[in-house]
Amino acid sequence: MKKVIFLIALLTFINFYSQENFDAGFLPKVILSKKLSDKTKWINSIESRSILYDNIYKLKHSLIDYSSIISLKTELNQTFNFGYIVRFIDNSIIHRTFQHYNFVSKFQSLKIGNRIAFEQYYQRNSKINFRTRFRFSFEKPLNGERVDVKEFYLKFSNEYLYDFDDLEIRFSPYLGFKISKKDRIEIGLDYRIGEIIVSGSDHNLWFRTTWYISI
Amino acid sequence: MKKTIYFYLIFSLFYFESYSQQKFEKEIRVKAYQIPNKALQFIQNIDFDTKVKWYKEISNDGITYEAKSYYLKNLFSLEFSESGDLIDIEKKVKFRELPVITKNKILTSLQTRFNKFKIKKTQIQYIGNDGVLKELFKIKTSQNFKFQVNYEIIIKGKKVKNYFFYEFLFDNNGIVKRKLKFDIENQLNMEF
Repeated sequence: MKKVIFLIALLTFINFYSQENFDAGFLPKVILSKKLSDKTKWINSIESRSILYDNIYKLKHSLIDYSSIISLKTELNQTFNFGYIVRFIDNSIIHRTFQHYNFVSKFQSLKIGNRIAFEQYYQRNSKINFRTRFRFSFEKPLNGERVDVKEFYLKFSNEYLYDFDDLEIRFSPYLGFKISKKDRIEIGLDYRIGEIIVSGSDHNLWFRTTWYISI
Repeated sequence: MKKTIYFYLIFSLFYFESYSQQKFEKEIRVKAYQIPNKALQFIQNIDFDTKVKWYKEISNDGITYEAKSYYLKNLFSLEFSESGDLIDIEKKVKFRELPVITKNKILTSLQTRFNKFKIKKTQIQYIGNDGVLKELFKIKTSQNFKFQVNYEIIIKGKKVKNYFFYEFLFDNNGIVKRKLKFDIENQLNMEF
C-alpha cells in the first residue's frame, strides 16, 4: 500500500512538473490569535511567498501578506470572521477585505471544517475585484481519538475559489504536530490548479509551513 | 530568502511555553499485549460485534486503560485501572431511550439551571463488581436489569449570555453527582 501511494505521488509530481505554467515554491506562515472575550478573537498573520521554480530553478522572494482579522463566535462551533490583508508584491500594494463563515464539527475522532468566504481586492488604477471561496477540511489524530500535546495528526483541505471569471481548485494535505495547548505547526503541500475555465494550465505547488499560536 | 528567515525569527519571540503549568493528559492507542492480563481476561469471553480498540490514558491522576467496542449496536467503553481492575462500564445511548421517570427528572434539573440547552451525548454508567457487570453482556434479549447506574450527559447550555459545554453525572433519581464545564478545543487551524 505504501509503495502504491509513493508511486501515485511520484507520478503526480512528474505530471505537475511537465505542465505548462508550473510554479513551485515555499509558503511559510505564522498565525497569532488573541482572545478578546468569550465571543471574540483578534487574529494576525504574516505569510511570505518564495518561488523556487518558475520555468527555471531560481529562488526568489515573491510577496508578503499581512492580515488582521476579528473573529466573532456566534455558536460554540460557528464563527464569522472579518479581515483585511495587505499584500506587498513587486512594487505594488494590493488591499483585500474579506468575510468568512466557519462551521466546525466533530464526528468521533474526525474534526470536519467548512468555510465560506467572500473577498474584495483593491488596487490603484484597477477596478475592484471580487472572489468567493468554499473550503472543506478534516483533521484526524494519528494516535488515539483526540490530538493531545506532543502528538501528530493529519489534515486535508480542498478549496474552490471563483472570481466570476475563472475557477481555481486547491488540494492541501498536511502533517501537523501539537506542540502545546497553545500552539501547533503544520507542514504540507498546497497544490493549486488555476484558470480552469479559461485554459486549465496554471499549476502551482507550494510547500507550506504554518505555525498557529494562541495567546 | 533572508526576508523569510527574519520573518521566522521575529515571530519566534512570541512563542512561550506554558506546558508545565497545565494539567497533563494524554490518550494513546495501544495493542492488546500492552494491557494488564486481568483486563484482558474480563474482555475475552464477551462476544462484541466489532474488534475491541484499546486506549491508554495517562494523566496527573495516574494511568487507566479503556476498551471500546460495539455490543448489540451500542458503543461500550470499559475502563480499567493500571493493574487491570474494572472501574466502570459506559454505554452510549440516545437520551430518549432512558426510563421516562429518570428522563423527566434530568430534564427538570437542567431546566432549572439553563435558559436553553441541547443534549449532545448520553451514556449510562454501570458500577459494580466484575461478576455483576459481566451480566450486562450475557443478555441477548431486551430485558430490563436493575443495575446500579448513573447517567453521564453532555449538553450545550446557556445560562445568561453564552453557550458552553457541560458534563453532568446524574444518579438514578436524577440527582446531580458531578458537574463539569468545558469549552471546545482551539480550532484555529480549522478556520484559517
